[in-house]
Amino acid sequence: MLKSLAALTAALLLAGCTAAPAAPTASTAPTSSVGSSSQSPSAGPTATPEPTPSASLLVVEVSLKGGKTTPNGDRLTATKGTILRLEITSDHDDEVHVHGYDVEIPVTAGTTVKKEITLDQVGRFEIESHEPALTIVQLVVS
Amino acid sequence: MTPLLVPLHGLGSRQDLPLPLPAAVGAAVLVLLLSFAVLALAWREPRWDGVAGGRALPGLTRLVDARWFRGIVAALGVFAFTWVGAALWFGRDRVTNPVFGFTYVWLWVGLVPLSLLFGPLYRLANPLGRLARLLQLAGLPAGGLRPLSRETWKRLGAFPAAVGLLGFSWLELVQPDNNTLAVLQGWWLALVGAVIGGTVLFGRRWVAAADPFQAYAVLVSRASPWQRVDGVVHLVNPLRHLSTARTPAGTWAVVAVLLGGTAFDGFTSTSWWVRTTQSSGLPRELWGTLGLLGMVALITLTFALGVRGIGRLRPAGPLNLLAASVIPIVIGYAVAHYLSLLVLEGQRTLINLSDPLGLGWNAFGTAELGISPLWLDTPVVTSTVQLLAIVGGHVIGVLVAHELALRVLPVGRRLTGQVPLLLVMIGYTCGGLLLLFSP
Repeated sequence: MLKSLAALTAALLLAGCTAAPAAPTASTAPTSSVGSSSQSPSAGPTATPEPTPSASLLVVEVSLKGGKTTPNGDRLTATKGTILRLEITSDHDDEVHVHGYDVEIPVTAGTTVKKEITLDQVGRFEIESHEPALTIVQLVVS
Repeated sequence: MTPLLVPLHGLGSRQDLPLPLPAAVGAAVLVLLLSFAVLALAWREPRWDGVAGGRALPGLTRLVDARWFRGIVAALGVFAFTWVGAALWFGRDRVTNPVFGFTYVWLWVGLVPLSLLFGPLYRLANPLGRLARLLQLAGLPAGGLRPLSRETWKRLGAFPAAVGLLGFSWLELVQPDNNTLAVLQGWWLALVGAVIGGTVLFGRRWVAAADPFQAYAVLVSRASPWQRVDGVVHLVNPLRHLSTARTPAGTWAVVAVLLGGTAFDGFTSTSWWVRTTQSSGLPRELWGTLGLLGMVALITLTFALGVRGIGRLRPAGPLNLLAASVIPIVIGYAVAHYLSLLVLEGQRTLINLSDPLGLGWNAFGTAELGISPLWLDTPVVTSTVQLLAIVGGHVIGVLVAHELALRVLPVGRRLTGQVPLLLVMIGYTCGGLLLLFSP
């Protein structure tokens, strides 16, 4: 931060505006960077038998290992009504907190915990682990 | 970082903008340039030249100066802080404790609309001010035990409050356990200690110089339509208010901390920041502390560069004078970043306030209320409000800067002298929009 202060100043003053179109490409597309997540138009095979016809499923595989998280704070976008399925594997006991929805998911070491949440509120929500406190995903529902 | 607060920061995203981000940024820049062009042609002489004025309201003045009115506002303040203080010391250490929402949302965010609409009411409601008065009534000399000279007070200005505001920004944005009672108790103890301790030493005037919330409220109230002129409350043009209000020494530091803090808050929710800080071996608090200080330094540096065109920085006269033009930008940033937080978490706080100790009370009948998203479940409305707040704040900033610059610039340099500050404000606009809306 500090070392690039001068550069940032210049960027803010001069290049900030012209650089605007490039800004979105600076970060990787959320879905590809998560890798193991997939968004299918119809409900996945293990989903409840009769979801609303239009509901799509967003699967996010989360791995908490050695104090690191994958995905690592990526931004995911979803439309309202999507069903989010978290599949969490951890090497320690932890808690995953989906803010805004106020869902707490207890996680036990060595097992995979699955949790489905219907994304019925719009906004930006963080999905966080607690031990240590890490942002796994920033979820944008619109 | 702050489970209670972070989820709702900056609702809406790039995708929800009514127009693509580059177009929004381009339009914002164009609006600023056009405003300046119009000013250059149509606003050639200082309009108010530092003279406050408007419509005198003697009736309203009598009302707000009446003992009973001041008593009621002060009593409300004392009651609110006592209620929340009970939650702070005797409540349960969980997110439903209303002290968190009261401190971070009602007070920190709510002060902005309150002071913008009603002026510096917080000065009356601030229980620390009442406590300082009590100390005086109990025999503390007016100037405290170690009176300061007039000159020292003048130099001190708002600097102590700027330090307090930086401390609060650090608590809100960096401190990892800021949603625990122990940390919040520590903060409030430190704040009350600093304000009341200073009052004992230097007298009652210290409260206005050092209380960060009061300083923030007073700063924002300079953009309100209410201004005292020769003791009488006037209904005034907020532009005139901004360009005629007294800005004490250190006002530049206050606006830099506020603007830098909000910008840093936006910066920490970019995925770049999250990824980088989480992948590094360094502790988050270190990143956060350096990031916050860096952002405040960046704002200070750019603002000083912009003001250089208008006058020499020493003495700091032009810095403080022109700081008034940053006030609407601070307000615009606050609205863009925190309005959704105020609406949603503000309602949650109202619900929690009925049960301060976690005993199942429903003292105000609000415990069973639900949270209405109002307009916030329409993302395009949210983003449009954010966009307008940022751009509107800067346009007003440019107007006020123009009026102030005309007052101090020699006739030959009236336009060229303003160009650096204009560029800085354009930079702030772009930066603000990119922080809010880029991924």
